[in-house]
Amino acid sequence: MRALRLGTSWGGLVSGPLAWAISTQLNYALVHWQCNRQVQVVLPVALLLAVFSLLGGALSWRAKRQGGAAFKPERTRDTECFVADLGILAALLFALVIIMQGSAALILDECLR
Amino acid sequence: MSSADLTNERDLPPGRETSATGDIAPERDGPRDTGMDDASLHRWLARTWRTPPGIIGALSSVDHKVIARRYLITAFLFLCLGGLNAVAMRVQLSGPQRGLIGPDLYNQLFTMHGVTMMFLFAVPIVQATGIYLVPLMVGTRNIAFPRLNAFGYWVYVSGGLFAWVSFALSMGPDVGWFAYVPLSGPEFGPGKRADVWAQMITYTEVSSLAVAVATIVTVLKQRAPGMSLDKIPLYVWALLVTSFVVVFAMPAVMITSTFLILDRLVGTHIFNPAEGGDALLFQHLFWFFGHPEVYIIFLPATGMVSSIIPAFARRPAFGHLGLVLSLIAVGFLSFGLWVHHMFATGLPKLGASFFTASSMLIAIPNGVQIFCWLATLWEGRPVIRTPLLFVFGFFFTFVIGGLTGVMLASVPLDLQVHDTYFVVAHFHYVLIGGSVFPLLGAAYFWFPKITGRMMSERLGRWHFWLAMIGFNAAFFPMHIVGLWGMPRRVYTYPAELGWGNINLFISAGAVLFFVSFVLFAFNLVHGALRGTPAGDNPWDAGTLEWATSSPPPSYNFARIPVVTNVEPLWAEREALPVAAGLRVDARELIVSTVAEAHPDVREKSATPSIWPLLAAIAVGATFLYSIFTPWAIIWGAAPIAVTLVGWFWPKGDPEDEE
Repeated sequence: MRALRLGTSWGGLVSGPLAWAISTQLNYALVHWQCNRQVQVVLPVALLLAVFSLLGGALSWRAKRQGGAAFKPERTRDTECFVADLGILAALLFALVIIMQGSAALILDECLR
Repeated sequence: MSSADLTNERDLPPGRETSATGDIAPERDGPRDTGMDDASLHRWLARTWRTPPGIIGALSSVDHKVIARRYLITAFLFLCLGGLNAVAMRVQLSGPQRGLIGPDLYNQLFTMHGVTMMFLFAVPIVQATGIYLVPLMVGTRNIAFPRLNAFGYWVYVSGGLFAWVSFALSMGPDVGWFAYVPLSGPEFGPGKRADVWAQMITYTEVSSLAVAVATIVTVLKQRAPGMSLDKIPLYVWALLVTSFVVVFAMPAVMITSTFLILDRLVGTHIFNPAEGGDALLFQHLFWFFGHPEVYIIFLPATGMVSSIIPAFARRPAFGHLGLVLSLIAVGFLSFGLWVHHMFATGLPKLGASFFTASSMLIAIPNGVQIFCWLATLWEGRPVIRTPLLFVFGFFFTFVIGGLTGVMLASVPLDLQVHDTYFVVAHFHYVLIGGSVFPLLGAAYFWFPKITGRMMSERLGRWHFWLAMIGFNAAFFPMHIVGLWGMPRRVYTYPAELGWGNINLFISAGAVLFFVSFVLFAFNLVHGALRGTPAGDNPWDAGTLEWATSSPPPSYNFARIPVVTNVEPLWAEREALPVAAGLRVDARELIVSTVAEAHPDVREKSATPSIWPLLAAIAVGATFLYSIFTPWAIIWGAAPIAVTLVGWFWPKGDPEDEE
């Protein structure tokens, strides 16, 4: 809970790439499933994972504002802020990629080869 | 932190022979550098860190600079061989129905060209540059795991020799650099040619993995005190990200080549659909490695550009945070693009579109880098020298390659130009523009550090313009001939198709490009022998490699620098603060914390040893034998085990006994 309250500088650096990797692999596998059952899952999954990416970015943002749960007095704020900035920007970038991937489901038919 | 004393003071003059060349550890608490005068310190360190004399001594070297120089020279020789392959192909294609080279040799030529350039030149040379520069840039005395690093070089050399001796015996691989099944499988690939491809991959990837692991540990644990994450030079960031990409990408291709060997030699049916295998699995596995491979070559080149531009723009890089983010983001995204090499395989269009999205959006971090570099030049006072000229050449060619890359990321266009010269033009713009031009700029930039002498500026400018004109004359028309429908990998074409004149023009451009490399080779040799003495920091650059002499001594730095800025030499113009307390009679390094680079412990660095060479010979012989019989793995295990036992035999260090 301390990590949520004070933030985690590397949150976005983990959540962004992780969410994007899951989105790429899971949605790639779900195309067949969606084609067979005609249930729209690709876009909702992409949106959920984009939110997950952004939540990690929010943790990085909080760490930048409040110091971060892992911060110790002997460490310099500059390094912590640097990692937090990377986390925020990575979360935003990967959320954008995930949304772009998912939005293909609005245009393309899942059974088209 | 102005200086760091790592231990209590104790300063003894050098009076006895140390054990730097053997495996017997010195006494635990020997003399330290604290308070020692410069002359005594130099004598101690030179004796402790020297590479032993003689042939055995040279073969035992674990000095990162010695290994890197060997890597650079070997990779350059392979570049020459791969370039000669290309010239031979262009002579054959310079007119319709030329009979200089037959289809069988042509198949071997384009395969050996691709294999040599990708596995024996591009990856090794960017890693070699890192082996030389990363320890200097992070302010340490040797790379982590120096014996593993030496082992990596020997395995690489044996893999390269294996491939080229096979080619000389007309046993060279002839199935394309990616050796798709079923063409390379047991059904359609008789003889040993495809096996040579498969095992050559294993050699070079083992070598790449060894170097990557050593680089990662060096960057994360051996940085000079004070070099926190936000003060790591951009080139070092680039090599760190690249090394992680190597660690996650290379195993995929090793699995691919091993599965192929199993299908061919043992009789498994992993890629045989008739027996429940999957031919497309080969492509998925190969390209899961193959696309990151492009970034393994490209990312270090961006690090070189990020080093060259600030030095000549006379200001720190604009947008340091954005540049680091770009490196990390590209490193991750490079793993999500591989299917764009497989758009023509009939995959579901919606599934393929996910990879289109990633392929297009990787342009964002790459674009951020380009704009940061332009802003650095815009805000600075650029001094136009040869390294910067090659960076301008990189901008021009890489942006064109990037634009055709965005075009090819689109499935409909990709399907139209698949397997045509349009694709050949695209990836040469990306690889030569994105990696070779920065490498050439880096050669002019860091040559003075490696040799202590300058290359000729006049010859450098001639080289640049010849290369730019030759490259564009050779590769730009390939876009056009590709759109006309000329397929890749054909050894000739009929005159009626009307491709003769444009191919003659392309061949003339290729010859001009080759001549530019002849000029470059002359400039290298001339500079090394007769170049103007360079001094420590001829470009007045700001990173730590320029803080030591040119060429650097075996111990890199007499006193370990303490870092206060991302460009330490610009921030501390008078004198760099230094850390003290390391022993001088033993090969000691500072091991620091990952985030802050606080000095953590003093650690021993491995002494020279012949065992890495012997282990590489055992591994190489096993790989070679294994293309003939699977029992090679059993028989080869014994000598490999013996050499590894010799390598890791306890040295008698007190910490080994604890």
